[in-house]
Parts: sequence; structure tokens; C-alpha cells
Amino acid sequence: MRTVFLFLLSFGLVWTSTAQPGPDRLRADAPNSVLIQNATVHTVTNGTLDTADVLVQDGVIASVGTDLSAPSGVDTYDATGMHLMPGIIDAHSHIAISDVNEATRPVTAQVGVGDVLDPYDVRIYRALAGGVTTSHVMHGSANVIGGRNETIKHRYGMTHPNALRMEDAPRTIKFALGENPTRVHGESSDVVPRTRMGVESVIREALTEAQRYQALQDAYDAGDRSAPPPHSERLEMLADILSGDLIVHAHSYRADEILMLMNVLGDFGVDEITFQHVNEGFKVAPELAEFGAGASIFSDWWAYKFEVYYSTAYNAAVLTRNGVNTSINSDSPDLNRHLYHQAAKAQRYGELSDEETLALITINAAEQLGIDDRVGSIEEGKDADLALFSDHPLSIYAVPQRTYVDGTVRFDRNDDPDDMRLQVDPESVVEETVVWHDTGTRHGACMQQTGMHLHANETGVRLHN
Amino acid sequence: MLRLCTLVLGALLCLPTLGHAQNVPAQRTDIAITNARLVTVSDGIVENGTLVIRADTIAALGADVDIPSGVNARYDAEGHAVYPGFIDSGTRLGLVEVSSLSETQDYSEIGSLTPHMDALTAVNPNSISIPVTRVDGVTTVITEPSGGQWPGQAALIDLLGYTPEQMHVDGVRYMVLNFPSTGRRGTSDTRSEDEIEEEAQEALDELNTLWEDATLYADIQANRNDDDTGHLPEYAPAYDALVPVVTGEQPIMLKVDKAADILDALEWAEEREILDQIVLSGVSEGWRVADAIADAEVPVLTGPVIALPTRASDRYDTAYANAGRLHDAGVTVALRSGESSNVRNLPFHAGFAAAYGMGTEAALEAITLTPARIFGVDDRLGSLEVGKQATLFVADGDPFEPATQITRLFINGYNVPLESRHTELYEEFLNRSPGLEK
Amino acid sequence: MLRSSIARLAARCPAMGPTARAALLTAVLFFVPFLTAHAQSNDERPAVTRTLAFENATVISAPGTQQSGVTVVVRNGVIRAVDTEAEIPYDARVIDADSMYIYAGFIDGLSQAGIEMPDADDSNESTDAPSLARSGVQPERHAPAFFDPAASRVEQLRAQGFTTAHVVPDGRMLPGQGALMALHGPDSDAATIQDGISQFAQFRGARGSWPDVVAPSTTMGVIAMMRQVMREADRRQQLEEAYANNPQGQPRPPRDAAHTALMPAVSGEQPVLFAASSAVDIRRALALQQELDFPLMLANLKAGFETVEALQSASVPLFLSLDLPERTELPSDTTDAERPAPDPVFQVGPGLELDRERTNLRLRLRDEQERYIAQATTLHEAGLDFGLTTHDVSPGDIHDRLRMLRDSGVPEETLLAALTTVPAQAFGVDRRLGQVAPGFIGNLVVTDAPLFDEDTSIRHVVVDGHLYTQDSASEGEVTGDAEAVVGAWTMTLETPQGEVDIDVTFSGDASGLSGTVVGPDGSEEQIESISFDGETLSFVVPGSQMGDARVSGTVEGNRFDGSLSAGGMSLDITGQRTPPER
Repeated sequence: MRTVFLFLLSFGLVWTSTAQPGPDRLRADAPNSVLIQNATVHTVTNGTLDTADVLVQDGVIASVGTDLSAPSGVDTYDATGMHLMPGIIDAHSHIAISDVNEATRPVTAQVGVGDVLDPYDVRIYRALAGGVTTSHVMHGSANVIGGRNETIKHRYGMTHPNALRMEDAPRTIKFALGENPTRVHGESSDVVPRTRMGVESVIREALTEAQRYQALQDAYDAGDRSAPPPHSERLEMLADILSGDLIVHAHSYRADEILMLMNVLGDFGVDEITFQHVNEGFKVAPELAEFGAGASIFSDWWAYKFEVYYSTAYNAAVLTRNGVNTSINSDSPDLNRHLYHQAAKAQRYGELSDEETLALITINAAEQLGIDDRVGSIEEGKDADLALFSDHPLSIYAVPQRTYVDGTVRFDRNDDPDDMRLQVDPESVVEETVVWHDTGTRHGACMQQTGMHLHANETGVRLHN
Repeated sequence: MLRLCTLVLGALLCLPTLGHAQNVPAQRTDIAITNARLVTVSDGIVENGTLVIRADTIAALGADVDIPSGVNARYDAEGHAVYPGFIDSGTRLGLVEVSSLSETQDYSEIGSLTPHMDALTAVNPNSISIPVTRVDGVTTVITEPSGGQWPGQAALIDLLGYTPEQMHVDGVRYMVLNFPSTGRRGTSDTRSEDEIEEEAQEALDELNTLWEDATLYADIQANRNDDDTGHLPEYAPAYDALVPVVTGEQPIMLKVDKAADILDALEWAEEREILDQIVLSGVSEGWRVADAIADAEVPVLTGPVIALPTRASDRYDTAYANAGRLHDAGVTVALRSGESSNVRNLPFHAGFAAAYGMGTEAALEAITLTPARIFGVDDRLGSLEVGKQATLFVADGDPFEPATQITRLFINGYNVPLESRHTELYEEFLNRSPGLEK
Repeated sequence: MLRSSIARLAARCPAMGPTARAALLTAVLFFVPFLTAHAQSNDERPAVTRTLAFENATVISAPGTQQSGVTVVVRNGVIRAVDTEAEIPYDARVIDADSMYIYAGFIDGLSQAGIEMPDADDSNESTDAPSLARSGVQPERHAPAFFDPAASRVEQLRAQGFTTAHVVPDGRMLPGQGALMALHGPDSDAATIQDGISQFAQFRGARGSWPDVVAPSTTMGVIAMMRQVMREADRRQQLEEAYANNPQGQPRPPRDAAHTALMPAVSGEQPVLFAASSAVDIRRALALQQELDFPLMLANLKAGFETVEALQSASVPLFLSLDLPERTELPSDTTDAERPAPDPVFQVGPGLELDRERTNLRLRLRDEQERYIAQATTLHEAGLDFGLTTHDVSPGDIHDRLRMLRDSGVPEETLLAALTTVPAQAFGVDRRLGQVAPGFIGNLVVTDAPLFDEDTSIRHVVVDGHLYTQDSASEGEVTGDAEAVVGAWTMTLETPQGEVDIDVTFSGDASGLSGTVVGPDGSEEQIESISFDGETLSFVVPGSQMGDARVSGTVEGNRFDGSLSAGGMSLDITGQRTPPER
């Protein structure tokens, strides 16, 4: 709230509390207190407790231990034989928004996906069915500097967009390096950048303009100028990057461009960044660790474009062993339903421990998003965002059973109906089938709305992630 | 790699810890794998067993096996499990190197009628994706062309060899037919329902016309020898390729997903009396019409398992549960990943199918013996049996489990190094040198 | 219809090659200049009198009031008397309204009737540094500049009882300012009741298709651009005020028409009327208003039932769309009267009850359709007032839709208010429009039965005191053998850019023909006024915004040869028929 509030003040706006939760169409009467008993509890930050209890009161984890008793009015849930872990955090997603890419210019910091949240998106529920409780919903990767992202909680059933927003989550903005922006702007529109040199130049120019804009604004505020500079939504946002109020999450693949961005941000005094995808992060793991940059990666996606041809599924292991804060994300409305499985592959490829592996989709992602004080582990005082599995969550046989958000059950394998849509297009037909699975076409959503679908043929979209 | 070295006993090479997989040749050496849990698939599990490989063949296996003289190499599996190599019943492996680069896409030829395209021709034996796939125990795959109504012929290949012919398994080729679809092709497909129906009907009319024409073409070719006038019949390569199809000699891999389309496809095949000539591939809504498929006794190659439901109103796990529901209905089910660079995830697709109703045993069969039977190669693949091809791997646990490590791999009797680009980059960069210092 | 469906096709169909798209777009653009040049051609006869008297009518002077035996006198465009005792002026054209009902003329809350926008020329526009206009920010434009009272959509709306419309320019995110227009008049100026009623806004990105696009291309881009131009307008307004107070030594403030035009909205003097149909769009418009603090109106609402609380607390004028979904047929074992609720916890289960699933999904779809149809009821029951808009609605469907609203639970009085007093108040003209009362503008709807009854016909419409009597002859007349026409026709229109195929289907018999036309994108429209005398076939394809297309030609066997006229130009059209099978 603090940062949001400051942000609003900076525009001289009055914060009017319109964040009415709106009706909860699914769980209006569901309690947000529960005692979960006899589970194997993977706290992630404090080891694993066999046959332990977790007491949730008013949406918050009240205590973690053994033989806890339920206060009056609080139901118990017998989770004997089950595994409880913190709600999974997807550090890179494009669900729950109406737009992904404002692909019209290389720098579009003025837009934000938070303006077009879509609480009706059934993919929120499907993520819940995979234990995911928080998503970092991102602008696409068409532009060097894209739009602002939004960190949401999967309060599926609430129909007010504001009900999805995770209060207090730091603001973040999408950057994108390499093939996507050079292709969208350079190759298709004849606009810089066409090369990775151009990408650097675009960022430096944009941030320099923002410095100058802020200087004019400051001079006006100090009474040294009679007029404020011409208003620029874009430069306001870029200036927030420089002030540390807007955290960069950079779509990136190649080692060189990763190094470039750390150099550029360093020159502008920006010291916080998380690299997204970062398939060649393993090559520059020591540099990432030294800068303190985060890496949010795919478990094993590669070879879908040239800049990910020299990839390894051991990326998570190399980064982790080199001290880089690493998370595994989905960038996909399919993969986000089994991030626990995506993370588990870090055990095949590099033999990470259970705790290290679970951290990839919980506390590490929380740290990258600046929300680790609220979520990412099972600790007293944290939000009761919890995922309950039939088996060890890193086992292939693990089946998610229940997912809690703020202590409220929002996925229940046994009780939920099949059709979980919150709304139905009145013009639709009942048996509308989308066939997703032509061979080899299943990759992420980063390039939606770039117009690149014009290059699609029946074998799928040519540009990915 | 270190692990491998410590495990290698006897006369086998200890592979160098640095280097390039492609530089270290696979070796064929007679060897006995001892102290192993033999998961035969066809005949239960043999604990603490021995499996003998001679040349390209499983020479012996069992709990009490006399290792023949001349088999000098030993591999103590230390209780680890031996599995037959996994078979993926639908991939694009070898036909594409970098998905976004058209220069490396060799799966879709121009035109809708290209049955004369042969996927095997374009399989790149040196694709970086091939070692990446096999080191996870997937040793044999169907690789498919796509696009149009008749994209060409799919082939069954082993993932070892330097020429396509070396990789080709028993000449298995399927003619791929994309059955007219009334489904949407992804969310950007904004056609109206009427348009979809109309296009599908046009495609079906086209298919039927084509079939009649190809049949006539086949008749003309057959009658050609009776002619002594020297008159040459028309030449059409597409029809040439369809001759073995319309005469019932070549099996058809019929790709279909939507429930209504599956029923239409079965009816279409029944009318032509070719139900025994087809296998269905894709079949993502198969669970909705499982009984009809079972009644038709048509095998199914389904997957990807780890996938989204086809309908917004569907339960979230319908794709996971599809294979198990088909299996329960009595359908012969093999699994496919539908992948190109990540075919290695096939065991995980099987694991999801297992967890969502199919059970581990049936899911294991669906990527071993069942596809071997469907493709008619169960005399050599799909299970650990004496006389079968020595295509198998050793794993330190359940290969469906992500944490399990594959510790040894044999394809067609060759001991294949467990190296790929992914392991190489790991070796090189885990402790990069130089590190931060110059 | 044809042109709009071509435009929709071009916009929507990524599968089409760029050449085909370009050709279609050219075909579309080709029409436009002619249409704007098209002016009214009737009413050349001199007026006999400007005084009208409806004698002995039942008058609903305002929603909820009704009085019989009333005489209504209109003179010089203004209602002079509404009274049982009213004296009929000597110069009046007297209409015996003995069995008739008189209502105030209807007001359409959001319309583009009569609007013809000039062809946008982007040829010299850079996408690198696009102008505000190229981005779709054109708040300096005014609807009257583009309004043609003789356009067919104006005529069609008027025929349905609409005498006034809040007409807005067509465009992208900020197309320009709306004006309250009389749906009648020799020209746009004369028809203008009040300009600058609103600043029209919509979540619609800039023109163009990839890669010739400029920001904003998305809804989030539109929202960002709204912030940009509103805040910059605010800054400039302050600079201008400061400069006005003390110009010496100061640089002249920057100035352009777009930002200047936004200043009334920024300073709270002019409402921004947002078209927002879906629940998320409604909330986005409300959020923007909260953030930027401008007066707001919401129009074209379809899913307002989802946002009742937000609408209650926003307390802004609302205009609901009359575009209601068609009801899906119910499963065969259920009836409308006893439509079961869908099972909210249905699972297919291991027994694979797929028939039950299908039934359940159909019931759910139907339920959802009912929610859309009942939007007005829901808002009414929540205590919200609303007007209505005919945007996106075929004029011939309007009264059917009104009855659907009534049947779903909106009181007739509320519906009438939604057509008259509520919009009059929202637009600040409630002392001039919305009632049948002395002193009000002479806008009347005269029907032969109570307005919302099934078979009611509108007999007269009066706009500004000008009488329009419904001419039933325009329905079309079939004197020839209908069999010669019935069936599916493929008609080919010769445009300068090449041929465009249209599928036309006629059905019916000697008692009347009906027909549909399907454009290249598959969109279907009803054909009107079909006449056939055994040789000459003529019909009208109603236009949406660009006017009607009138087709006339001769039928010989299964061939048709004729011409299509629209917007003052004529194109050759030929057709080939596939007669229906016996």
C-alpha cells in the first residue's frame, strides 16, 4: 500500500477507496479459518515437519506445530497422508488479463496490465488446481521496455479486478531483450532496435530521457521553473525505475544481453532486477550472483528459437549452486497448472534437494517479487496461502487436493464442479472445442498481440516467449 | 558423469568427464547387467536379476542366469531397475532443430495433398535434440510430418544412428491423415461455428473424392500390364503414394481430436471397411467417446497428457485423465508427447496419466509394449524378453519420477553415452573457470 | 450491411492474405465519399402548414400518466396544447387520433445514425511519431459535422419512434464530441439540438493492422493514453490560466485542438460518455473516472448486472444496450415455462454422464443469456435509472427487444422513461424533451395501440413538429410468382476493385418474401422491402452506418441482372440462383 500510495500522491491524486471486494461468486460463505491436521508440512524455510498441524485464523497462518487444537468455530481438516506446502508462486504469467502486448513502440512504459485485469479468466482456477496461489502477471515481450506487471492473488470467484491485486506488492515493469523486440520493431517495422546493440541503446536513451524529465519536474517543484515539463506517462514510469519504485523484470536469454542490462542498470544506479527466462543464465551465474540479480527460468524449455538453442535443463542447478536466487515460472496457462512438476525436474537435472527445489516455486519467487514477507513459506503470521497434495509435491504421482488463498479454499479436487467458469459468453455454443495439441506447438504467451499471429500457420505461432 | 564412472566396471570405457557426446561413439559390447531389478513389462518384475546382452539382442534374463562364456563385461546395477526403452507414439523429433527458424523446419511441405512426403528423409540423425531425448530413456519415437490433409508419412525410429535408415525400425511407416476437424485451432481462430462446419464438410468431400480418385488410379496402375498399346497412364506422385493406402497395404495414422470428429472418423473408416487399417492419433476428447472407440477396436495414440482441456467448461484435469478413461473403456492406448525438443518428457506424461486414473502399470505399457504391438514391432521392442532387441535403460528408481536418474542406456545393443548438450553445458558451467576473475 | 461486413471481415480475419484485405478495404473506402455527398432529396414540396392537431387521442404525457380524449396541438415545432378542451387552430392539419396513443418522441442514448466519417488518410503519417489523430485521439471533432439527417439509419430509427439521438462521431478511443440531434431536418445544423453533450470514449485501439499500427493498440494502451491526454490537458489548462493572468515574460503555452477540447471534461464541465459493454470494461471506465475525476456517463452496457454495486456507488447516467442475445434452445426434455436451474455442482463423474453434462451446459448458457436479457430488470430492481441505446441493434428489432425487456420484468412505465424522461434529464434537456406537454419540442410517437403491445404499429412520428406518417407500402409487394425468386442466390457485385460475392437467400410465397444476405465474413442481415412483379426484383439491404443499399434488376430463369445503388452511386450486380430442392 505504501508504494501505491506514494505513486498516487506523485500525481497529486486522491486515493479513493474503490477497492470494494465485490461479490464472491464461488466462496462467499467459505470460512477463512481452518486447522489442517496431520500433514507432512513443507515449510520451505524451516524444514519439513512430519505429521504436523497448521492453524489458519482469519486468513493468516496462526501457528505451525503438532497436536494443535482448533479454536471454537474453526473446522478441522484431516490431512493424514497428505503433503502441505506454501501456495505456489508463478513469477511469470499472462493469465487474468485482457491484453498482453502493447506492441506498437519499443518503449511503452506507460501501459500496465494491472489496468486490464480480468477476474473472470477460468485459467485462474486452473492454476489454483495446480496449487498456484499467486501470479506475477506480466506484460508481453514485444518491446524493449514494455508495460507494468501486476502481482495477483488467485481469489477466483471475486469479480472485482481490485480483488485480485496483491496489496503491498512492489510495482514491477517488463523489459525484453534479444530476438523478440528486434524482430517486432527492427525486422517488422524498421524501427530501432534491430540488434542487441540497438536494444542497449533504446534502454539508455529511455532512462536518460527519464532523468532529464525528472530533473525538469524537480526544478519546477523547487520553484526554479515556471512550468512543469509536458506531461509524459511514459517518462513518469521510467523515472520510477530510476528511483527504485518500479522493479525491472527483464525477459532475456543470452549471456551477453544479461550482462549488458546489468551494466546499464548499474550505470543508472538501479541495483534490483530479476531476469526472466534467462536460458543462458547458467553461463553468467557468477556475474548474476555478484550483482544480486534474480533469475526466473523455465524448467526445461529450449530450442524454440535460436537464442535458446544453447540451453540446458540444468540451468536451475547451476544458478542455485552459484548462489543466484532462482525461481521456476510457467509463462503458460498450461505449465502454471503443474509448476510443482516443472520444479521437480530440477531434481533430475542437477539433483537439487527437496527444499531447494520447492524454494524455486515458493520463497525464491516471493523474494524476486518482493512479497516474501507475506507469502512463499509456511510461517506464522504469513498469509494462509497453502497447497495440499496427495503425495510429496515433487513426486509425479502428487495430485493437488486443495488450495487455500488467504485461508479460504479456492480449489477442492473432490467438491468442485467441472464447469468453473464465472461467466459464459451468451453468444457461445455449448460444445466449443479448442484443439491445442498439434505436434510441437506448445509454448508460452509472451508474444500475444504483437500481430505476429499473422505469421501463424497450422503448425502454430512462429515466435515464442 | 562422475556417477557413471564409479558405476562402470569391467572392460567398459570410463568416459572422460569433459568432451562432446558426439565424439564418444556408442559401443556394442556383450555385457551382463547384474544385481538389477528387471521390469520386463511383459512378464512381471524380476528382483535381483541378471540381463545379458549379446550383440544387439537380449540373450538371457532372469533371477538365475548363467552368464555365457565370452560375455566378459559386467555392470553391477546395484539394485537399480532395468526398463525397456520408452516409445513415444507421436513427435516431430529430428524434423526440426529450432522451432522458430523456418530453415530448420522440415515437417510441413507446401500443399494439402502431400502423401508422398516421407518424414524419414528429413530426419536429421545429428539433431541436438536426439541425445537430449534418449538420455532420459526415450529410445524410440514416431516422427510425424504435419499440415494439410495428407501431410506425408510418419516413421518409427530408434534414437541412435548416423543415417535415417540406420535409425528406422523395421520399415514402419504410417500415412498421416488429418481428418477434417470441427474444432478451433487455438484461441485466435475466430471462425463462426457455421464456417467451421462448412470448412470441415468441404474437407470431408475433398477427402472422399480423393479416395475415389486414388482408388481409380490404383486400379489403372494395376491394369497397366494388361495393356499392350504402349499408352502411358497419368503420373501423379500424390496418388502413387496413396496406392498402398487405398489398397489396404499401408496403415493410416488418422489425426483427430474432437469427440464428434472421432465418431465421424470411425464411421468414415467403417464405411470404407478400413477400421483395421487405422490408428487414431491425438484423440484429446477420446474420453467422451471411449466406448465407440473400444467397439471399433481401433488403437489410439493419445497425448500430450500434460495439456489443457479442450473446452472452457471442462474439468481442469480432462487431458490428464483421458488416457486412463480410454484404457478403462477397453481401448488400446499408447501415449505421445507431441513434442520435438522435449520428447524427453514422455515419462512424465505417462506419470500424469498414471496418477490421474490409468495406474502405473498401464501407463508403463502405454509407452513400451502397447505401442510396440500397435506398430507391429513387438518382436523386437517394448519389453525385456530374450531375443528382443537390447534397447533398454537402467534407472535408480521409478523412471516416471522426476528425481530418478538414468544411469545406463543401451539402444540396439549399443551402450550409449549419457551425454547431451544439456549435460555438457552443465559440466562446463557448474563451476565455471575462469569464474569472476579475469 | 455489405460495407460494414466487409470492414468487419477485414479487421477480424487474420487468415486472409494482405492483398485480399487491402482489396476489401479499398472496396469499403470507395463507398464513403459518395455517401457523404449524398444529401436529402425529398421534401421538395412546399409546406402547407406547420400546425398539427391530433384530435381525441389517448396521451401518455409522461411515464405513468395517461389521459383519453386529449387533443395535442403542435405549431412551429413546439407543443402548444395538450388538453381535452384544446382549441384546434384554423391552420392545423387535423388528424383524427380517436383510437390512437401519443407518446413523447424517443431519445436514443448513444447512436451513430447519420454519421459518415471522412476517409482517414494515413499515407503521409509516420507510425514512428504518430499524431494524436492517428492514435485515435480526436476530441476536437463534433458529431454535427458528420451528420446527415437524410441517412437511412436516421429514417429507420425515426420509423421506430426515435425523434432524438445522442449522436457521436465514429472513430477510435476518443472519436469526438456527441451532440443531441433531431432525427429530422434539412441539414445537420438545423437538426442540432445541442452540441458538445459529451466527449465520446471507448476502449478501442488505433486504426491499422500489423505492422502499420500505432499506440494504443490495446485496451491497456487506451487507458494509458487517456491518462496521458487528460493530465496533459490539465497541465495546459493551468498554464493557460497562468499565462492569461501574467503573460509578460512567459513563453506562450503550447496549444493544440485536441488538448483544448479535453479541457471541459478535465475541469468537470463536460461528461465523458464511455461505451462499455462488458463487466470488466464497465469497471475500467469507472476506475478511470475515479482516477482522473471527470464527469462520466456509461453507454452500451450489456453486462451491467455484474456490476450493480459499482454502478450504484458511481451514480452516473446509464444507457443500456438493446442488443440482447438470442436464446439458445432448451434441451428437448425441458420447457421455457419450467426451465430447471443448471446443477451448480455438476461433475461428469466416472459413469460419464455426458448427456447430463450437455443438458447442464445448455441450461447454464441459457441462464447466462437470461441474465443479459434481464440486465435492465436487475438494474431497475437495484434502484438504478437508465436510458437505452440502439447502438449495434438492427432498427427493425428495437420493439421486439423492448418487449423482451418488459417480459423480463421491467415495468412499462420504466421502459417509457428509459426512452424519454431519463435520457432527457441525463442530457440536461428535460424541460424541452421527453414529455408530451406544452412548451416541449414537438416530438411525438403516435401508435394504434398501447406502445408495448405485441401488434402495435407506429402510425405517425412527429419531429420538430414535422409529421412523418408511416407508409406501409414500403414493406414490399409480391405480385409475381414468388417461386421464381425463392432459393439461394450467389450475387456478384462489381466494384472498381474487383468482384465481391454475397450470398442472398429468399424464402416465402405470394403473401410476402423475406430474405437474408450473408456478407463475405459470414455475418447475416435481413433484407427489407422485397418486391417482385414477375420480372423485376427489388430489395433493400439496410445499411448500418453508411446507408441502405437498394438493389433492383430483372430475373430471367435463374439469372439476375441489375444494379445496386448506395450513397448516390450505382454498381452492377449479377446473380445466379440455386432453386430449393423439391
